[in-house]
Amino acid sequence: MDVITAILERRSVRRFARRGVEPEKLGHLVKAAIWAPSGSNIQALHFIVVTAPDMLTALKSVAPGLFSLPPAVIAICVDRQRAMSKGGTGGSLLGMMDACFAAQNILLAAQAEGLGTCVIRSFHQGSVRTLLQCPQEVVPELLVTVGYPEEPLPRAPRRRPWSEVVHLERYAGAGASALGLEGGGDP
Amino acid sequence: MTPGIDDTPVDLAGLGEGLKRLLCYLAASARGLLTEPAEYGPLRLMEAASRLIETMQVAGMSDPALEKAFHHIERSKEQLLSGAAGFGESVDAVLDAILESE
Repeated sequence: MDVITAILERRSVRRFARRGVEPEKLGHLVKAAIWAPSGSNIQALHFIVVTAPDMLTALKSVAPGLFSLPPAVIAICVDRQRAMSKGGTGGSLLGMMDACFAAQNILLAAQAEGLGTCVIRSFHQGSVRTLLQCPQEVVPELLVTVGYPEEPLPRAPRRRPWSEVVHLERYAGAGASALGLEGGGDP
Repeated sequence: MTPGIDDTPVDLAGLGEGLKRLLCYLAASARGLLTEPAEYGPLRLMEAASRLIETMQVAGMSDPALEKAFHHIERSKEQLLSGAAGFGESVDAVLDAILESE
């Protein structure tokens, strides 16, 4: 699957088949995450892969954004101490941005593997950190659910018209048509 | 085990565990809603309702009215998440399903 197809066909999947995810596929996703860009090369991320049913159930109880019980969750955590020491006073923000880059890599790698995903930020950070037994300086920033999607896939929310959001040279410059973009809305 | 609906045994230990998890969910939701979009409030309440029914199912306390309500709850969540119309009507249907059975 080429990258553009993966980007356009990806959906936030919240209903998963009961089938588990092969460990080697989860390994591919984590590898993709590790190779995401890192601001100032701080490399402050940790990835905790959760597949045990009792752990998933416990996570679900403190993660309101987690609806059905997925077969796997990848918790993307930032070592804030490392982020600050290598990234300066802006290191914490860099760490959060790195977490987002890594999450996107996971989503696209999962799409290529035929897996569904959803990024979740609605969870109680302190409780998740306790459940995952993270040290004090390691903070879970994002949870990514992973599993084989249950059909039908959700429809993509429409995007704003490109003419509203794409600009050429300056904010007031109409850019969409000059860049070959017509319409917008659906993929 | 304690006799429940239609003499189905109720798993009190499972019920207690499920209710504790629901309690965690409610507290975590309250914390998150301080900074989350306003429309997440109704969503969290419907999700809590959904989790309560799941807890009752696991404990052997479900009945056809709750099964019907659960279906409407799931639909309401999808409507809210996708921006589709009809959330209010689905919530009304949840109440109808439960009240009609009484």
